[in-house]
Amino acid sequence: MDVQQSDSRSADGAAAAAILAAAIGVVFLGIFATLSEANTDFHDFADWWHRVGPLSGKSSLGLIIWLASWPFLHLALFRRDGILQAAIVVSAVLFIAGMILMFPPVFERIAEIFISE
Amino acid sequence: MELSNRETWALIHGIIVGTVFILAFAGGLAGLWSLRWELVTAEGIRERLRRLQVGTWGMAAISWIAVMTGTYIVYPWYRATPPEGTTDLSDYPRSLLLSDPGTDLWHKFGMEWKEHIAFVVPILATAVAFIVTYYGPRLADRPLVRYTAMAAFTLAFAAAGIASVFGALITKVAPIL
Repeated sequence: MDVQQSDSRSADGAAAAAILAAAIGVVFLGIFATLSEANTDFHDFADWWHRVGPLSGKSSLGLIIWLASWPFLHLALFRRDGILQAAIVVSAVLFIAGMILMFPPVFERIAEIFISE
Repeated sequence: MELSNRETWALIHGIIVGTVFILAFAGGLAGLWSLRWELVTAEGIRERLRRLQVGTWGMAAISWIAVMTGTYIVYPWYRATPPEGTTDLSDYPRSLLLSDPGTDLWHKFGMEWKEHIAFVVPILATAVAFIVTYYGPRLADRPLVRYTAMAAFTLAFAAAGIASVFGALITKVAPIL
């Protein structure tokens, strides 16, 4: 029991899961930031608390997805070793995508394209 | 010399909490960097690890406090809509910024970026605190795990820096009174 626990605690899967879940949270924050700008229905739906406006919904949804994905990824990956490098690459792609989508000139441009159609 | 309720919360959110986070970052990064067998003894690793665990969880907690006080206490004052016919917009910072083409980018670019990127900070800081606690002394054996934590920590710091700088600049142009 101790040995197995020690082995799984040494595997890099838990770090991979933590970093992947964080990147998923970030990319969804970016997706919701863009969606809120491009789609009035989502903009109105995201207005969970009127004093804060749509930021309350889009940030809460991003955080919920991050928190929900983490335990699943952890349970799936924590015993596996040697996967951190691949997880770093995937996380970097998701993270960069999230950062691009939450950059105002980008989400405003995307919104303009969708609204004009 | 007196601070209003709003100014006090803006001070807690921006100066006190933000400054503690930014100052603690250097200590956390140095702690992670030096957590190596070739640099410290087993006793040294244990001692540094305790400090690192307290430090990283402290940073995660403080980033949550900064983001939540910013979003749910200070931001509603910033985005409040003025009653129709209001000509003095000094109590309504967002409307004040948007009323002038010379200042509207502070909201359209600065605040729009700040309000989203700020949420990246606690997500990454929490992931780092978890990794430090979960791996404990094994971090010294797993350089890639340690480098990953350091990279996430640095990205959290960069995101906090962007949010803090825009927060300070926007407050200077349109303060929450």
